[in-house]
Amino acid sequence: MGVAALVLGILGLILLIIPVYVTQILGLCLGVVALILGIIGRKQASEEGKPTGMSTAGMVLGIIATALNALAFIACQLCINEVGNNMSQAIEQAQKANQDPKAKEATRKMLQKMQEALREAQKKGE
Amino acid sequence: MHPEVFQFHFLGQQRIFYSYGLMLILAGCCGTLMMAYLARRSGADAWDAIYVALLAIVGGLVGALGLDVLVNYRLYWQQPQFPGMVFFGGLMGGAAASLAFIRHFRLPLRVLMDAAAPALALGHAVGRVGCFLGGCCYGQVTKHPWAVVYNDMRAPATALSQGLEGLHPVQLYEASGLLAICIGLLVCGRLSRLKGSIFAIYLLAYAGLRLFTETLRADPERGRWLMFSTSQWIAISAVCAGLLLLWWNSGTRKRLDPPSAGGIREG
Repeated sequence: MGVAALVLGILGLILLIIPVYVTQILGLCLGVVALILGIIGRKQASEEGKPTGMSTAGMVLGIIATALNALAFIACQLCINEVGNNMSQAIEQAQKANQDPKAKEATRKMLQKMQEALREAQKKGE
Repeated sequence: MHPEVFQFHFLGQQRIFYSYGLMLILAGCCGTLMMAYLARRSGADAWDAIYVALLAIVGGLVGALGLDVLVNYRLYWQQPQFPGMVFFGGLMGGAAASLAFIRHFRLPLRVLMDAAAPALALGHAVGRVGCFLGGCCYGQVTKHPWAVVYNDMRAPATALSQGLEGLHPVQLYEASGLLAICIGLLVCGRLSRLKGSIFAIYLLAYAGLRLFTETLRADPERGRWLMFSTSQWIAISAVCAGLLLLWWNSGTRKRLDPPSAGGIREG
C-alpha cells in the first residue's frame, strides 16, 4: 500500500504541472487517493512494527498534490461558474436600474467589464 | 476582497493562486493541528487524530462537491461544469470518511469527536474568511455602515453589488460566530460532565448560527424547498442529530468505545 501511495503521489504531482484541464482534475483525484492509501498504509505499518517511510512519502506527496490543486484549480473553477451563473441576475438588476440615468451608465460599464472578465476567465479555464 | 494571492508564469502558461484555495489549505492546517493537540491532551495518539483529520478533509471535499451536484443536478445536467461546495455536504462526507477509519482501526470514538468539534469550528471560520476574500456566499443588500461594496469583476457578489450597493458581510458574521463557538467548545471540553458531548454541542450551536445567517444570504443559485433553503433544512436535521447524540451519550446506550492500544478508558 505504501508503494501504491508513493507512485500515485508522484503521478499526481506530475499531472499537476501539465497545463491541461483534464490532467489537472486527474492529478487532484490521484493526490486524494495517494493521501488515503498513505494514511492507511502508515497506520497499518506502525501497528505491525514495519517501516513507514514509503507510506509517509506517499502521504506527504498526496497532501502536496491535493493542496496545490486546491490552490490553483478548485478556486478558479468555482469563480468561473459563479460569475457565469450570476450574469443573468446582473442583467435583471441592470434592467431595474434603467430608470436612473447615473445608475444606468454605471451598470452599462459594469456589464461590459463583467463580460470581458468572463471571456478572460473562460480562456484561462481552457 | 482579494481573490488572487499571486500570478506567475510556468511552462509558458500563466498560473494564478487564489485566496479561496489558500484559505482552504490554512483552514485544514489549523484544524488538523488543533485536533492533534486536543487529542494528545486527552490521552489519545496525536498521529491518529492527524489521520482522522486528513481523511475528514478529503471526505469533506468529496461530500461538499457531491451535495452541490445533488442539489443542482438539473443545472449540471444541462451545463456540465466543475461543481461548487456546500458545507453540510462536507460535514457529512468528512464524518463518513473519518468514522470508517475510526471503526476499522478501533480508535477511541468519543475522544476524537470531542477533539474534532473545536477544530472543525476553527477551520470553518478560516474557510469563511476565504469566502469573503473570494466574494462568494454573499449577503443581501443593506444600508448598514459595515456593509461591503463589491466591484471586482471576478467576485460572484459583484452581480448584486455592482460596485454601488453594500451587502451584508455574512461570511464575516459566520466566521465570528464560529470563532465564538470554538472558544465555547474549548471551555466546555474542560468540564468533565460534558466530555463525550462536545460534538453534539457543536452541531446544535452551528445549526443555530446557520439558521440565522441563511436569512441574510442572497446568492440565488442554491436550492430551496417550501419556506427554507436547502442549508436551513440540513441545519434543522443537524439539530435533530445533535439532540440524538446528546441522548446517546447520556448513558442510555451501551459504551461503544473499545479499549485502545493507548489504554484510554472513559469513565
